[in-house]
Amino acid sequence: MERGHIFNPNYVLVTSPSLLFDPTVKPLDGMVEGSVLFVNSSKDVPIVDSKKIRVIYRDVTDLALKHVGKDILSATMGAVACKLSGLIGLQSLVDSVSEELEELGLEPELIEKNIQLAKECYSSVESISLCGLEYRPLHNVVEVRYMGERGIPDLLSMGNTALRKTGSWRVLKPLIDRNLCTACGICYIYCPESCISLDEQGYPLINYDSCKGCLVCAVECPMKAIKAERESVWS
Amino acid sequence: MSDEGDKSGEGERMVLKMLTGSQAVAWAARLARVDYIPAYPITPQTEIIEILSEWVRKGEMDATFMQVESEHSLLTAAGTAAATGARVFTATSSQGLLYGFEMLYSIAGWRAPLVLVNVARALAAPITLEPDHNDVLAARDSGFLHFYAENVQEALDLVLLAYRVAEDHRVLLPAIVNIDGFHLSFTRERVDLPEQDAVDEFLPEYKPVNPIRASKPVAKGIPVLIPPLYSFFKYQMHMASRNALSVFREAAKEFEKTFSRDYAPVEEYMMDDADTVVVMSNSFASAGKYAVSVLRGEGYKVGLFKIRLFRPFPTDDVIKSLRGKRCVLVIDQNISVGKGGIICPEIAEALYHLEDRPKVILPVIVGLGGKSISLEEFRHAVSVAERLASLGARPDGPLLLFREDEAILVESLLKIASGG
Amino acid sequence: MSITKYKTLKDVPREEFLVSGTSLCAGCGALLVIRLFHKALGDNVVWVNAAGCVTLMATFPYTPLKSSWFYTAMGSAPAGAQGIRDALDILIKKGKIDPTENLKVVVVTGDGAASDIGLQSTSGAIHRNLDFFYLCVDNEAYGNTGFQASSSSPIGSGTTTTRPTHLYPMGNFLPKKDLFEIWRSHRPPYVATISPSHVVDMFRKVEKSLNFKGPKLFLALSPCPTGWGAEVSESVKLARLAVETGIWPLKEAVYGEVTHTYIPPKRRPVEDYLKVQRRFAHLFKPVKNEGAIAEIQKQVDEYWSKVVH
Repeated sequence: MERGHIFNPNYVLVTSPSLLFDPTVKPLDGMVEGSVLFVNSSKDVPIVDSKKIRVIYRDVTDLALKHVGKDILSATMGAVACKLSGLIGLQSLVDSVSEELEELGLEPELIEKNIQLAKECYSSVESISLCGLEYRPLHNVVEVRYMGERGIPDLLSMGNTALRKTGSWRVLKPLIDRNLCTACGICYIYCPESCISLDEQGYPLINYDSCKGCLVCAVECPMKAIKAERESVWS
Repeated sequence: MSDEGDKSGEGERMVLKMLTGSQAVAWAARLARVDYIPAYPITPQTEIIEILSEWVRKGEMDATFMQVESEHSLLTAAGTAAATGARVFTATSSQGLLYGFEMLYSIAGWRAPLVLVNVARALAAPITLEPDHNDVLAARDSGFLHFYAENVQEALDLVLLAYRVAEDHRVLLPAIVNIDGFHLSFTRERVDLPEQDAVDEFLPEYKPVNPIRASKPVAKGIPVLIPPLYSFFKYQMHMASRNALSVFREAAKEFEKTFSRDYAPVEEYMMDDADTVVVMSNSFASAGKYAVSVLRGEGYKVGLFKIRLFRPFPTDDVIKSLRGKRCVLVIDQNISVGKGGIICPEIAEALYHLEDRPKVILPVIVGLGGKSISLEEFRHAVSVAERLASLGARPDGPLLLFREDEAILVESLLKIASGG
Repeated sequence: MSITKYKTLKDVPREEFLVSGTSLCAGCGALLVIRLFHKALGDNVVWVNAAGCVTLMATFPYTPLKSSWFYTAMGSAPAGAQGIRDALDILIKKGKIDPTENLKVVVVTGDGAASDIGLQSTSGAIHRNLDFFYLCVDNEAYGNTGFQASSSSPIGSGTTTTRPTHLYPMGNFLPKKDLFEIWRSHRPPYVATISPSHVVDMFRKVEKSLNFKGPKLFLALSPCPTGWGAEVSESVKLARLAVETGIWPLKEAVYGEVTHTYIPPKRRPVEDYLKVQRRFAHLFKPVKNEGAIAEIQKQVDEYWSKVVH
């Protein structure tokens, strides 16, 4: 029985393949042989440190877009977790989704869409019973040393969030049509994320490593030169 | 205030003066050449900021005096100024310390050294102006170093020592110097006032770590949302605070060389052959010393152990002084309601693992809200402890000392209040 | 306006002080405001922050800013600015640091810190004539804790603590606190409202404020798609609608003297702004609350009727 931080998970569900390699997330930590990894992705992603874990890929974002029209994944991942573990039945899942979304003040039709979404996600995977999976202690306990001035929580590496690659958040990808673009620079002005720069002729360039896909640029473009396309796979 | 004093010749490194505790700590700030004094009035602290404000306005101190609108802002400004590289002095009391309380943990977490004088005053409700130590001890776990002064001379000297220890790069933590309201703050005593050049020699310029500068941007105080990182930084603060024990001893040695006054983290009084030891801190320790000397005359083999440096806690000194004693009475001028005194469990824990630990460690609570501690109460507490030791019995909760005449006074006042 | 180097969007400086990759929501209006505001301020800035969404821009070990940052506490960022400003001044005066190390001290907080818990600290700093900038990114609720009402939440808006129910059909029934007027009542050198939609207006205001010593205070409408229940792509559009409906007047006050810097030629009905946000959805569904919408429209009209054209 684990509560809070799960050190040795039987099931790990990852909403975006990019998180698999994030140093601050490390979702694969503590997974033991025989455990199950679910990745929300349309394609297989090579898992570097795959011992003998079972990996399942499904594109639940696609399902969310189909049912709800938005990449809101809480119901999808909850549904998958219920089914994979085999611990929570369909009715309990539906009741919980309904109750939680009602508490958030969502309208009945939107709640219904989410329920349909949860149902489809639920049926998209099979239960994998992992009773009796064996845990072994994985970590040594160490003593923290006094680190002098390095032990002060000051940050000296400025402007380093670009390392985080928030491009993985993106569901819709802005694409600039150079034939329509007049190099007015408006998309550059209004990008909240500093993701658009201008080349020498003043044409915009999008930094897809970081672009979260908010599409403010597409809405603001006076020439309607920016189109949104469903992200295929984030790499 | 007047500046005249007995200057005993050019070669001397100090001048004799009669100063109140407030004046003494103001002088210490002046001699430390502080850059910045954020201020907000509260009784019984106010005299300190009045003095400093006047010195700054007369041009006698090259510092910025900034009266802000609350202690919360006061502590915020104090902390960010220290993190920017200014030497900061400030002072508060009681409700003021609690009003700014959130920032105590922040300043310590920023590892921003500064000196805050707390003029002890008991906490509301009921509201009072008289001292006990619930205010300063509320800040016990904040990361501030705690220096407790018994007399006016110590108040001045501990401020200088506090700067030296706090700013040392092995420590880099803020410090509280506690002086008891009224008993020290408004009491005039003879003080050796150090000469400026001697202080300059003792106290080097503050060299901040990662100060905020145009040429070297830094992000400070930012969230640490990864649990092991948070633990790591808190452990580092703890270890830095523990470093302050040896840094304090080094600094005290230098201080003694320059000013001929010797300060250890603790002080022993008539303890050589004592069987029973009274543990105290702050100004009421003087009353304790008087009581000890009288009780000695009555045949009690009693001594007094005073805590001067409370954070970091001087565990080794406690062990060295109190092991092998028969009885230890810890006089707490504070009350953790529903438990007892705050300092007593710390003393007990320090001694627990010793074979020759005291037979009795008696928690005593007295002196709340400035209530005096009489010779009779000391005698009573000592005899209770010794009786328990001879019976091999354990104390039944903390001893709450009160005198009969005080009980009668209370009774008469309650009568007036109830109209009865 | 006096002589300005900002005539069109082309004049917006290219240099970025805020790199990408923050953990703020996609389409965050506050982030856009900060990015643009920083361009207008230029370099050599230290931001002083109170708890709010933007606190999460920098979380150890990452910061998107190339400039310095100091998170203080929710209630006292202006006091934090006071300490930094005073320390820099005295260290420069005493010759302990070079004058080239000087920084512009800029408080950035949300509306909860600005209007509620930090108002005392702000009032104190303005009263002391602290030489600083204050940028309030106003998303009209406590966004970081999940969108609870603040005293800056507009009347008629639903938040997680002012949910519309049959007993409270308006959702939030309290008026939005007028922070512009509260700040202005201190007669600081410069107070302005800004909007991320009106970028040239914003740049001119920051440019103008740089001429003043003392408090320079900016109240920025900061659309919050997450809390407002709007399309993430429409943050700027919403901000523009707020200006065009007259709900968010663009104005400035120099030593208390108010000038409107943009007067919508023909104000659009407030309904256009309200109906595209889930926080106002209860005013339209299941039945349209004509009375409430008319009341909001009336308040806007009354405001503009007093504006000297």
